[in-house]
Amino acid sequence: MADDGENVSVMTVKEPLDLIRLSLDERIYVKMRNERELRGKLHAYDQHLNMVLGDAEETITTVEIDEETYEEVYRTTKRNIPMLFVRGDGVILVSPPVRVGL
Amino acid sequence: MFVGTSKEKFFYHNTLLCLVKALQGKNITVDLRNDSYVCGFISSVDGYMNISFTNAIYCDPQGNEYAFENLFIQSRNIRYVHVPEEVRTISMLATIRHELGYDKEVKPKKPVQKSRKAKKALQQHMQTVALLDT
Repeated sequence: MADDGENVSVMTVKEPLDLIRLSLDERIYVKMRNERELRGKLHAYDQHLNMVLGDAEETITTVEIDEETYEEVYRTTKRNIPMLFVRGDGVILVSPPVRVGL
Repeated sequence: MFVGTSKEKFFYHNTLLCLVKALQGKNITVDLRNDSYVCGFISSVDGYMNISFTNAIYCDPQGNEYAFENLFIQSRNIRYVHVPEEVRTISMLATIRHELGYDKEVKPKKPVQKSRKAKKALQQHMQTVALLDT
């Protein structure tokens, strides 16, 4: 595994997608349209940012107005999917693994 | 062998379409953009990832279920495709990675041979630039 790390750092980064290649087999964070977020292990991706995520956790955030206080209430729902194919047109951003808090 | 136009073949060989194509003949769930989802037997997937189902259940955002004998999903409306357990193998992922060429070394391009005319033009251009500097 340490060897792999060496190779990856040596590997040339010429285009933005090469940065995503560095995150292969790592847990990544994907922000999707419609206030959805995904965390999962990146198994594969392509030029459209279609992705295959393993052990994916989807977080959906919805905003509701409290009827009495008129305050905005954020509610998150989570669900886990063992393996998920994500279509690239819904992807906003892909973030490399965060060491803390993931 | 994948059948389709040259563009569809390109997508098949260069994108994760090959994974979705591999789900043909299986029962899967597809989440759609409008929070609805479809469960059913995939009869075919084309080169643009449009999916045809047979014996599908469509569940709308309100949670009502409708059964269809045949159902066609335009690829634009797909958000997620749930990958079933029997396809979830390491060898499948390895094949995809090999196909998409993550491990391929990108060869540096050879510099283009310029014609004598082009070289001369460049030389003249550089001289003009040098004159401007002084």
